[in-house]
Amino acid sequence: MVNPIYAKDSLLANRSVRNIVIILFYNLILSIFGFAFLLGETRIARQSGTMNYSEMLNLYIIFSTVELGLLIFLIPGLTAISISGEREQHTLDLILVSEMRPMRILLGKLMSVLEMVALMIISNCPVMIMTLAYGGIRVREVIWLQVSLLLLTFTIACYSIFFSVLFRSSIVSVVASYIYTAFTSVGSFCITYLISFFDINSHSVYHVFFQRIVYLLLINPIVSYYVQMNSQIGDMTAVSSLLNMFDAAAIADDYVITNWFAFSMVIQVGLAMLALMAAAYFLEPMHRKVLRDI
Amino acid sequence: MIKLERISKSYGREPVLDKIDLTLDSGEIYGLIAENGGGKTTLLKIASVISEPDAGKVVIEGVNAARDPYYARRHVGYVPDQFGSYHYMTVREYMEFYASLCGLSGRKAKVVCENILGTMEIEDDHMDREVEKLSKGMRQRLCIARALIPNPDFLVLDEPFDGIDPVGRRQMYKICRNLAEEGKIILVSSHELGDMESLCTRFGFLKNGKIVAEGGIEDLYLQVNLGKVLSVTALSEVDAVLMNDFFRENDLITSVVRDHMVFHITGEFTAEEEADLLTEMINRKIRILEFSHVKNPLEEVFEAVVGGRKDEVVW
Repeated sequence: MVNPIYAKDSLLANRSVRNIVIILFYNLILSIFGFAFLLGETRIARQSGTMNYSEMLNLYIIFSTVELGLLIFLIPGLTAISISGEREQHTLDLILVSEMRPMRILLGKLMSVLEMVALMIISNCPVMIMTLAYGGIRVREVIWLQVSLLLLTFTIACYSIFFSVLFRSSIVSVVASYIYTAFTSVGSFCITYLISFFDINSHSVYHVFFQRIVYLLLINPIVSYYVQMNSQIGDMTAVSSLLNMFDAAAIADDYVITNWFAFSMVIQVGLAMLALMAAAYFLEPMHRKVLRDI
Repeated sequence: MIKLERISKSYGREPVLDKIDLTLDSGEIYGLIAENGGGKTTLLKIASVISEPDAGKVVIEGVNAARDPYYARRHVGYVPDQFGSYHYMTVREYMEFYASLCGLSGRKAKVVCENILGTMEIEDDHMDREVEKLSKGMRQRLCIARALIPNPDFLVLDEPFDGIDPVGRRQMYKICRNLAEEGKIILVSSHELGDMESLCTRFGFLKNGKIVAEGGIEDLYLQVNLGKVLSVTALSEVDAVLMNDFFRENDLITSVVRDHMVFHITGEFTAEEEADLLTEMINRKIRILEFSHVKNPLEEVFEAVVGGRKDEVVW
């Protein structure tokens, strides 16, 4: 049997104009970036009289980066209202009084967000195919990047759902989700940078310990994307340049560092699953008392 | 049977419910009455197993709800005070969605939903209308229909008569009585005391987090020592003054509440004493416009138990 929450959300989303508008703007923004890039490249080619096809790889980087930015911007807003929105519509109690288990309710919500993002990615295919026309990138790599973006969606959606359960108001849960997204993608980088900056300048005896603060970046989706993208375009120095930035080149041979992307994905997905389990625990009305006591 | 044992709940430092005990038997329609913010909705949510008490337990069909909330919820149908629905959802989709939450799908869900909607007197031509475009009375019946999908033994109705016209109310009484006749337990809260009196077989008055009075209407009169309440209306201000003096002299009357020309007098009157009272006023040439029993004694109990009277108290 199809998850009833997913079936309901899917049905209602298809009737509303919201999803159509989001998909339209998503593709419009990507197309504008693609068009501007091609226009610039054509102009350069006209002036120089030569066409540098290796530059076309930048189109792939631009598309992927804009896609990443849009997803980071859209998903908290779409997901953080999932449970708080039901609460505000006075429908949450009606769902909770049924036989549905909290985890199944949350999985239904998660599936509808993943479906939306999958739709965005699929609708984006004609634009993405442009990057394949000039070579330099393979279909397999494009697919692999889209899978990583879906994983990113999963992680952001999980903790947005967690905030949606935790806070009664949709506005609060949306703000909390954006703050957490900003913390993982920008804040973790700033913290790592600051700690390593003080560590380097203080010539601390604990440098061996502090250089491992770079592992904090394993939770950073932008760093994961950066590593993946560099690996796809053939630049294998992404992690080592990061380590140099934080004066942590000494740990370059660590197993975690050499398998950065895989570890970062495992950690991010693992944290997201923990957030989802915590959300399921707190969604159960018989556990809400725990929240009130915190 | 549903048992609420020593239920306590507080919001912050504010206690809302304080060691409440309540036992409901099958076929019973129990009316919960309290002031605004008196803890009715909190108690109903705890009874519906969608809110956890700070202390005490809810036992539904012999099972402690805290131990197995999913089993307990299978026996509960909950109608909240605010109607929750989704944009663009039709009546059919609304019912089938909640049927799917109860594990019903396909043909079975359709048959169950159609049967319940028939019982609730919601006609077929409403099936494809958007829920949000239904009248308030129709929505309320739909909400009860939704609550009946899992065929619960225990139905919790929070303010079910709010904003419904008299015809709709009569339909609701009929539906609730039929459900009680089928053996379902109904726990209902409402501000509409007239509705409660017409519908419920037993009442509980909630004050300061405790049930301060409980029972059928006759028991409540004995418990709160109200006596009989008569309404006497004077024809003019002069008659009202004479009437006031007369009531003041009469030993049978324990209290008088005056609102302009209307007096509500309370006392332990027999039928003969009532007749004597009327005769004496006529003999004193006091012109009486109306002399009757108060039509809504539950309201008198409410005023005596839960809140003070709003109009002028003479003595």
